[in-house]
Amino acid sequence: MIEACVPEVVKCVRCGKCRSVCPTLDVVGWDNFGSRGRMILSGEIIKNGFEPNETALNSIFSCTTCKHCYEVCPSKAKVPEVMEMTRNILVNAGKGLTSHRKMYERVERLGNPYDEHKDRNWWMPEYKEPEEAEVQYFVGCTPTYRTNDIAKSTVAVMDAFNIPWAFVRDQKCCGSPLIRTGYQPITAEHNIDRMIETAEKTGAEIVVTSCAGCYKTIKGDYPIKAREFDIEVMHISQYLADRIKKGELVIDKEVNMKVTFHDPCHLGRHMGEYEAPREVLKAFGVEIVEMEHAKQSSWCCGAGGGVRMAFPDLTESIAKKRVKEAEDTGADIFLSACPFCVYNLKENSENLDVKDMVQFMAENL
Amino acid sequence: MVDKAEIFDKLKSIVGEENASMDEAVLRVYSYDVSPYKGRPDFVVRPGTPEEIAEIVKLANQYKIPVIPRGAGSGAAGGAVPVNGGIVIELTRLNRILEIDTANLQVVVEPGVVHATLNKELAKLGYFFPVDPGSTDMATIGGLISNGGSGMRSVKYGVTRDYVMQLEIVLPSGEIVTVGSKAPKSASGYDLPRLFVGAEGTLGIITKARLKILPMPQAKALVLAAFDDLEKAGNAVVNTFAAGIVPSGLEILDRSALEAVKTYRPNLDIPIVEALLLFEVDGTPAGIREEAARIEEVCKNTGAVKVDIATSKERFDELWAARAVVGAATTALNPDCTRVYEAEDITVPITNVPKILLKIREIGKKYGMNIVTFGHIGSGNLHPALVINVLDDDEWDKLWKVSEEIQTAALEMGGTTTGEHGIGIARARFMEAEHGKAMELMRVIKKALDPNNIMNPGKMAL
Repeated sequence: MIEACVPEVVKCVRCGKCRSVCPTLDVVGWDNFGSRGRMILSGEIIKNGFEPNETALNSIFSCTTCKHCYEVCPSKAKVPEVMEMTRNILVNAGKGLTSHRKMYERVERLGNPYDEHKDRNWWMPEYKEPEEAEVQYFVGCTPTYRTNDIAKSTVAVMDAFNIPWAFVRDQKCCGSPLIRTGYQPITAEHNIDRMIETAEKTGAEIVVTSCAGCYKTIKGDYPIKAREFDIEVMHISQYLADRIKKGELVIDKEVNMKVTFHDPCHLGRHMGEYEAPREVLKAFGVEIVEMEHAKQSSWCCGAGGGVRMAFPDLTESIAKKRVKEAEDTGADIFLSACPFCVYNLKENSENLDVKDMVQFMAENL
Repeated sequence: MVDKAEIFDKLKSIVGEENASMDEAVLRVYSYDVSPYKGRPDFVVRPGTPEEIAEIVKLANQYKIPVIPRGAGSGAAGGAVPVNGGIVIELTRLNRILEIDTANLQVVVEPGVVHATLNKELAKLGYFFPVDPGSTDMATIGGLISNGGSGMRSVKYGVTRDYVMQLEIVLPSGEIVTVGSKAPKSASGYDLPRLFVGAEGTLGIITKARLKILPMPQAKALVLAAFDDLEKAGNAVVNTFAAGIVPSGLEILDRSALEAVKTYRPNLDIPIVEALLLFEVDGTPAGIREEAARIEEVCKNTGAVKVDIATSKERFDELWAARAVVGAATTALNPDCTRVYEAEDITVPITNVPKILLKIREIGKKYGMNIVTFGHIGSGNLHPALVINVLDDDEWDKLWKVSEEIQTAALEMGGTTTGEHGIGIARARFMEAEHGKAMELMRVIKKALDPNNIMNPGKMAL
């Protein structure tokens, strides 16, 4: 891992352009809590023999991996990847954060990071796998255990459009929180096997997620090629936008609302998808008013990269700033396409209603 | 032996516990800027007021500890690198725009205001601070003033020193003084504001700056002129000025830069030639049309193989974007290499630009290094990008030799090692050669203001 990390670390020329976009530096102020400072610390640890102290660990583990720095970086230094690699090196050296280690152990033990013992399908006990389906729904842990209305809404939307769907069998955590915090995605093999199995049983060769993090992880991080895993993975917004564009799904409602949309880092900057959610929302006739930071320059909600778990105060400050930006647009509602972003932003929004786009759709279909 | 713990306690009592650090991780991060130089501070503080800064400086004077002012740490010359240890004073908490006085064409800002933030606020009112460094998104006004920064439009609008009306300074003694005037012009006394512009924190710390601003021009256009010969491009620049036109920007991209841009952005519509000149003109819509047409005529008469005038915003932005990505392209193109900021800011008389471009090519060839060169030909300022595998010691050896030869050549052509980035540590070794006896004058001034040499010692060969 060190061999892979060093050439990426030295890509950073320390120009400081990332200072203008790093959400944690914006809150904390000290350079070691910004992308450049973290790249320096990573280099000091893996190259210059620095035995990381608590401040160094807090700096490295407080990056939300939002990738905004990469977007503006003249040298295209891969900060999120370097942070994940550095965290992996630290975890392997027994220097990971306790909260993250406990989360890893929960995923290992229960298949989810939330310490939930409930069956994954608790919210839909009547579910029986259909004999035939078009899509497999990978629900993800947050909609299953924390923002269940998003899972229900996703199902309601698919049902309303008569999209034959099946759950990915026996799902476990996608592994996103593990990868972000320096651990191996120990559930990846299991999930891949279940997707293949579900495809074989139902014929559904498209996996749809309602979570941007699950989407990024399954499509972007899983060792797909190694397993000849040719099932297509899509975020629900992409699947719906695609079918709306083809004229296969028709929305005959006109919703007279001003909407602002938060691009989740894992859907936008990490996977390059900005238009699909907007296209779907536009199909409802809403007016989309963009925030000061939108699309490629979207401001992180502050929850990702294991930060919400380990540094809740930091997350809160970042989320409040994002909510303020949304309020400043004068929008009637604040939508996103990621249950974790929604969960976090909603908790930090006093005046503006925050929802996932599937909730908005389910309510207006 | 100075008791560090005792000093740290005093620093904490001045700025508050949360704004002072001697944590090993923090000290390591504040050991760098953009340059390849490194130096470990003993303390880092983030004061919030000029009075706190004055207290810190008094403390430093009492214990004779170096004080290193720092803005965003985006300097390319090691100016904020604490080569002799000491207290790094980060000024980013002093980030307020205190006054915008459009009627009197001036603003008052604290040193930690980021350049882009100032212009964003001014744009809302139809005004701008014309100095435009490439580092606008990170550079602070304090750093810009202290390093004598400028940018692409200095050919028409001048450099930072032309916009500094008044400065509040914490002197090395800890006294707070204000130099300069609110009046649009002043012939009163020594021009003290200019003494502190480009002083790199060796004479004091800027805590407030009153800057001149201007109304934004109504329109802009870009003329793109391609030449198959560097000399002809150089002549076109001279002939443009001789025709009575002062463009707001005048950039050159030589073949190496054009090839880099084209590889980085293949869809960009630009010719690959020996030299491409980008003339920006601004003013009234009628005025810019006339100036652009005259530049076209001058360039054609001087042997341009192709001239293209861009007035649409789309094409204008696309072409300026091409210029903006050159620096990035140099590093991004080669995955094993990183740009090292050395010899990156040479400036020569305008007529010597073609000559120095050829010299840089020759040096690159000699050492087997592909040097991409671009810059502000209208002000003689070039930015050669030296790109190496930083994990290879042999490449570093080569880099130092290339750096030495490029900068020596610039001096031999009547130029300077720095047009807008400053001396810091990176170029200190050339100060004697460049300034001769004037160096002695600088030492006298330094000693008069800072007898204990606590202010950023080691920088500018002082």
